[in-house]
Amino acid sequence: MANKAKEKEPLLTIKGLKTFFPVKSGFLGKVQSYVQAVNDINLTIYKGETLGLVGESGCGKTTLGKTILQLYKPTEGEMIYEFADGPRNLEKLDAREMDEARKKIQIVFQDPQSSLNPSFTIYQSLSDPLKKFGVKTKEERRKLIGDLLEAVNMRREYMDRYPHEFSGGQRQRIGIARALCINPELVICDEAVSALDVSIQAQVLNLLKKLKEERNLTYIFITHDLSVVEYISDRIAVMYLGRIVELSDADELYHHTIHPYTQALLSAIPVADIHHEKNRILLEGDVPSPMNPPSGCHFHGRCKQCQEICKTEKPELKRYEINGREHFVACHFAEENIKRVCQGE
Amino acid sequence: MSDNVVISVKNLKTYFYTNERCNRAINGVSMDIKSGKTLCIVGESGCGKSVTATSIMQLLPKLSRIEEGEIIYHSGDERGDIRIHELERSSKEMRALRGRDIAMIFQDPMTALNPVYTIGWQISEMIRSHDKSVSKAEARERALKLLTDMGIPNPQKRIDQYPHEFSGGMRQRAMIAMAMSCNPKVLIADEPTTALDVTIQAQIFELMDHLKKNYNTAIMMITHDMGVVCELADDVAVMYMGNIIESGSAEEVLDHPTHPYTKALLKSIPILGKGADQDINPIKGSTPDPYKRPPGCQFEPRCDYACEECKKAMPDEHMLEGTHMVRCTRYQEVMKDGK
Repeated sequence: MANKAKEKEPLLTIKGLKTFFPVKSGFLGKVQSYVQAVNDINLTIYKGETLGLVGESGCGKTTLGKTILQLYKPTEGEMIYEFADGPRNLEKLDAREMDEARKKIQIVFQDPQSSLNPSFTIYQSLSDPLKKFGVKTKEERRKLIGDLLEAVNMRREYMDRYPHEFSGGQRQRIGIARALCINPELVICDEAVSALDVSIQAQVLNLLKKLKEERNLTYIFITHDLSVVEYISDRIAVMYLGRIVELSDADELYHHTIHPYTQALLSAIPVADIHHEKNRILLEGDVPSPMNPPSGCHFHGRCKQCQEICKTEKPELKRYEINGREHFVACHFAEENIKRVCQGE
Repeated sequence: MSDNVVISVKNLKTYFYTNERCNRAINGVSMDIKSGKTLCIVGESGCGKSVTATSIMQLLPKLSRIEEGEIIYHSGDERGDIRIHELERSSKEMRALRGRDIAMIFQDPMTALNPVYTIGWQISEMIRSHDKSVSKAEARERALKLLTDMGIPNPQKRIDQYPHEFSGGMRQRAMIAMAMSCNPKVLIADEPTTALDVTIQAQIFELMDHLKKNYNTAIMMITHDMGVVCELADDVAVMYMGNIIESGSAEEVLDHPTHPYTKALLKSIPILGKGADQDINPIKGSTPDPYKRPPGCQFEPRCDYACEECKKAMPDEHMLEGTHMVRCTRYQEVMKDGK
């Protein structure tokens, strides 16, 4: 892993990204306040990596994914994508350029049932993007879609069937095939395996891993399931109320957990191993509302280490090094925690 | 041991009828629910875990029937053993049993709670409908105590609030408070934490552990998450296509899985802390159509150990050490191959 770091080339750089949704009320629809879904995110996604994005519901992970795709307009900040002809800010692209960008960035949604048109056959669903992006003849499209279906371990003939004829796992594989049909570089998987049964989940996870190798893809893998994200990701970013609280290599995050929120999150996960030592840190209360987030560190109301400074000052995401490997943490007591975690070994 | 058993289910068969077709949703399920223990029923969607729970509660939909088998509730008082399967679904006896002796919590607390009544009103209603002698003020007092016990912050204020004012985790706590309001002997939890975040899930687990220890409640927990099973279960029953294919204590089943399905299931989940290098092996194929079931062992088409004999009939129950039961003809070979 360590030598990998040298050859890292950024693909997408996110700087100070904020996505707020206005809350309107009253007759004139006056804006009362904002839901601060994504609040000041700095993140670099490197070519060929899988970045896991984890957090509880309402922490802004999906909003971040959709903002990258320009499905939501960001309030502030920039997203710089490395196109073949140089870096450009995604937000500043005009409609035609955005089409080009969409060719590079694709998304796989959580619920395959609702993301496929029930009255279209699989061929119809998959051929639209191909038509738009220049595969003109029907024969070519049929061949391409057939190849894709085979790539996701399904049979060619399935392209003339309707979505209801497939099981959940198969539909999700069609969703993946659709995302891949125009050869994207970056695929955003938004809870792509959460709706599937465990035995099917493993099939889809292994498929995603295989496709990444074959097609040289970069994934942003959004999920709430830490065991899954640890299995598939190279790096993991943990989000809490619109901010990234911890970011590091996947195994590093597990071995040296620094942020108190990540510690609690990891300890809360039921592990499918009966001999696993249970050392649960119970968090009190619920995630505060993103409409009115707490001052200072967003986590301070539920944190055991909370001091005066946490209530007033927002901790920045800072870079630390643990045994020579980089680790980003946003906590006033990061250094203290690093020392404690390293001593415990 | 047998005096701990609160509910015993024997060879239960529940079938669903639609358009002249019959879905054998449960096809011969036997189990014991013991007081002060958690029985986890685990399986994929459509395997019949929820139907087992609704059969016990007699909450099955109209076009379904308990065809065979028995469900016996050992009340432990003057009522003696109650044969639930013989009661009418909406009979007086069944309604008295539901809620007071056997309570159930559901996956989605928002749809299970009535949105137009306050939480306090709904809990008091439950108390007063099972015990007419309780006054309104008394019921409210008890509801307040229950909410406090379940760890709801600021219960004085919360008791007069409506479900939409509660967060997901708190709604589930309110549901548990309501279920516990009559001190039931059995609590059936149908995927109680699936809709919740992990940190909230941990809080609910702590609460259920507390109920088990302090009230000696028997808990039947339905889940699809092997992680949850490892955390909570004393006993485990693994279901596949309407049959319990392996059961026993948590150690027996999870440490020495003897059915190929249990084994494959455990191998197909990524385990936290093992990183990206672990091998996860998916189970090939997908669950069969319930109307076109395989004739023999239900798992046969997906099984690595399948042989000719498996295609003929569902294997019998084989008892191993202790309470460990497995339904597989080639269990000895599976056992030899280890975990």
